[in-house]
Amino acid sequence: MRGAPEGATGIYGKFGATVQFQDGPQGLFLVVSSNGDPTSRVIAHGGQIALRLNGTGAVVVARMTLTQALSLQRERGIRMAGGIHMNLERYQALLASVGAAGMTRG
Amino acid sequence: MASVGQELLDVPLPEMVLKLGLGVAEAQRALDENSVETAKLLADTTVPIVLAVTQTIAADGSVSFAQAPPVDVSLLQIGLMPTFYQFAEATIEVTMDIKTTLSRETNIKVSYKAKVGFAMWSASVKTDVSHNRKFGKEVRGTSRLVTRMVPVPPPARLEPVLNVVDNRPAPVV
Repeated sequence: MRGAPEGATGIYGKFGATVQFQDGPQGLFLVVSSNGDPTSRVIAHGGQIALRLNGTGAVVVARMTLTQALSLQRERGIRMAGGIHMNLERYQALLASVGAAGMTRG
Repeated sequence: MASVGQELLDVPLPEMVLKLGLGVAEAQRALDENSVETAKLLADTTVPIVLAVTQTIAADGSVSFAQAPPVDVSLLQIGLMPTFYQFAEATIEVTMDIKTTLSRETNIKVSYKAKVGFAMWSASVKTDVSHNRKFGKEVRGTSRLVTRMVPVPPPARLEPVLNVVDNRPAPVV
């Protein structure tokens, strides 16, 4: 259990309310930054970088909880933090469609 | 004085339910929009991947590798899918602590006055009685709103189904 993300406590605090988020399991999130590498901000919110996707370093796949991702999304310069998951069936279908093959003996 | 039952009836529960419902709907819309944005980005972002590497072991034992030319595919094609979230449960809990008090207070003030003069006298008795009834009411209430979100499968037909029709002639054995 943790407190509300930065910025969310303002209006609730005026009414004397407390907002608490219960952390769920970690998942993968696509994090897009509009001003450079988001690594430090991801780590600051408790996440870990799992994959860097393009040369500029502005798009990363991070492992974090939904609460951490929602908190990260409020950061200035973070364009998006959206949950993703790997569909292995689709990956296998892609491999099959392009003719990726196993070992053959000549 | 309002009864305890009336106090409970005065709790704006319908309004609370309405606002919670609207809040959940608004949050759900924002989450869906975020997932759709993620899907767009996954479709627009391409990465070069090498789908096959051929390792050839020659008759003399030498090993060589040859890789297929990289193919640009979108992250969505690879199998990275956006995760959709859904509010599975919303609970409103209202707790009220109502305390009513009634106190009665009666004040009696008696004064006696007498005068004696030449062959005459007078006396008077003055009584003031006052009744006070005091009502006290103390209402304390707390409310608790709980929502639970769960990931759900992406909507069907988020992307086209890939069908491969291979018209190459069958290899001759």
